[in-house]
Amino acid sequence: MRQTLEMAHWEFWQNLKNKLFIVVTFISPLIMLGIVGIVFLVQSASQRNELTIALIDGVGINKELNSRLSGSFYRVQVVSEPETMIVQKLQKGEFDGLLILESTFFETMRARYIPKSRSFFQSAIKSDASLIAAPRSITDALSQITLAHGLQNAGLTSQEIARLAAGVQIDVSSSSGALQEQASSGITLAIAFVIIILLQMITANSQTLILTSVMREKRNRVVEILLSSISANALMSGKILGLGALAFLQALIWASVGLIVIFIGGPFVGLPTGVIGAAIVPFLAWDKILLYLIYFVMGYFLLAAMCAAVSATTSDDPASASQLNMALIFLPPILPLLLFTLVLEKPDHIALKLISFFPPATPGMMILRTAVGSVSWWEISLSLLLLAVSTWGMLRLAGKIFRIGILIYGKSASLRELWRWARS
Amino acid sequence: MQSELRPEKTLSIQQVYKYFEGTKAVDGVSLDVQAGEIFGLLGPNGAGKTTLIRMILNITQPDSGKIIFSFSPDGRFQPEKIGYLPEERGLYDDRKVSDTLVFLARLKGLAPAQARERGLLWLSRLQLEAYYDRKIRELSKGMQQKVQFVASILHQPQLVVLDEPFAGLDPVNQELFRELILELKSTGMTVLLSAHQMHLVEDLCDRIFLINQGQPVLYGNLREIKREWGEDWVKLDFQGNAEFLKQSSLVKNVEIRDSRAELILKKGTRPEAFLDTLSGKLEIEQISIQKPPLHHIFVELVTQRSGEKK
Repeated sequence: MRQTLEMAHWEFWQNLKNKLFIVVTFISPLIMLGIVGIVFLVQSASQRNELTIALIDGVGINKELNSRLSGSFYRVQVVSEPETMIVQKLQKGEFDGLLILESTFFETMRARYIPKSRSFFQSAIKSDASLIAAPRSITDALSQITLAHGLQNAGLTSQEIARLAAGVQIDVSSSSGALQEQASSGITLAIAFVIIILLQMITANSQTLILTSVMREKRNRVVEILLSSISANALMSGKILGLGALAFLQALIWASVGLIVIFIGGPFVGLPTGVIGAAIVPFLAWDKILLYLIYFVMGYFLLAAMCAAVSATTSDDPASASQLNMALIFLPPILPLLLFTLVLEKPDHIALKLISFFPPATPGMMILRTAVGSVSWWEISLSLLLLAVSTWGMLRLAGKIFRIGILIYGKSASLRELWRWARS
Repeated sequence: MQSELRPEKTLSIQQVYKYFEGTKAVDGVSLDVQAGEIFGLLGPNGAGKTTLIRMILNITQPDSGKIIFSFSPDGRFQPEKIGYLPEERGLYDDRKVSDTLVFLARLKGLAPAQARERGLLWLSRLQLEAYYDRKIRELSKGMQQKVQFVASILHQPQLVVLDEPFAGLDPVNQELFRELILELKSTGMTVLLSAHQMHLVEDLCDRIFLINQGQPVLYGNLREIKREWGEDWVKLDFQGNAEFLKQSSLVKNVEIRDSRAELILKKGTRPEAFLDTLSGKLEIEQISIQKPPLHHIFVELVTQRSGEKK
């Protein structure tokens, strides 16, 4: 155990001081922040820029139309010139579109729309103009106006029309804190998602670190000195522990940066993130979070052991090892996320139950299922037992493969060789 | 398992076999390494030396046989009592010399402060103290080899295994390493030395073990081996006609150039008997009779064995 910890200590601190790691850890969040900032700026800029649509109003609804378009990007401006002149203005960019409402609009329920210009893709489609849809907001506003007009003609008062336009509202009443439960399960689901993504992220990062570390020690032959001092199991476990801790620290730094940005930046965009955060705390289901952490830790060790074995058995070419790791290690844990819709609708579906007992997918699937609904205690117990046994078995098996594989230079192991090493 | 070794033996290898995919890499090897001696493990490339060394160092396990260490109460491998300089040299080139030395010493159970202190002392001895906080990649190949040598002995092991320590070194550094190895011996450390530089092996080793194609070929005290080999080497400076030497029944091989001849006497020939055949035929200016060099014995045995196998 002492040697495992020495190895973990070495891997952790030496990689922490590595320039590439520092750059990746601190530059990545900055790049992410930059991207988020750009998206935010573009969105707010586009919100400020209203689009003016010229309107040839044959029915006199321009005021009502503008009123219904409030809150959207569009506003209409009544024009009195002939259509051909407006089209010319359109081409010059004076308007963003032209809407023509003939005097027969309420009877025909048809309007014409001419956009400012056709985009490259729109021009590429050599079909008629009907394929180019008018802005959704304008279509919706016109539909509402024609509906109100129709109802008024049918004899309804303006109060009745307003009441009908308001739509149906369903009030949810609850007994014995069902609302609190609902809020809690929503928050738990969010946390479950975060933990699954964190597991993916940490596994991916530590996989890269383990792969780099094993390849380097194979290439520079330091591995022979190490193996004369510590067992292959201690070497492998040390790497898994040390580099896992490092990947965890990296994820923690990224998560902290994210939280800081949310809590500090939230109020600037009108989101009381501090208040929301404080309100969430009472709804946290700590027993479930503890269970998630158990799944998380065991899941990490299982996947990291697989990764270490794969790294040791492939040739000195990091690309081939990386591809194998991708296929073996990334796909099974991502399965629960791919089946998310089914998990939400039917968390007790037989297929999901079966996947829950497939160890590489167990953490993600069980975390998600327990967050969505109540899972029976025997399923939790059995999945934990299977995961624990397979993690222990995988660590032993990976240790055997690692012990031999790490001394094979310049070639990848065949399946036959792997089988022989595993039996040794 | 109780240690079955007397303290004068540091290591005992008993009937060890190792197979790789049906090939015998090590085929029934037995040998003892005495405490405080320099023991030479010799053999051509691919003879099984590295496999044997890896088994001694617990990196791989023998398929059968026993490897027993006297310094362990149960005879088992104890990493902190053994140092290793591998043939395939390499260190973490992006790490500092100091960090690397301390890390490797810590794995052997040395406290960090002690490792730092000893590391600095050794580097000063090898005039590398200025590189203590430099990255390994900034060092020349020879310097890196010195650092690796320091790493193998920093924890003051009882047995140090040096696999090709002279490979890639210039003559000055070869001499430095020769002195360092003798110094280790003087401190009571047992040295297991594998090298291809036969003159250095001859100079340093008390006893040797020659392995070829996984099998033991030669084992024992170097002087006894040479004596038992029985072919004395004669170097002769003379005046006169030495052509008669080519017909001599006592001579196995002769090479004559001008007034100098180099001869190998047949096994069992007494040097005195050979000297008698010279009297009155040549005017001898200088003569030396020596036991054959290890290089010759090595080449003869390995070639002979390879021929037998074919």
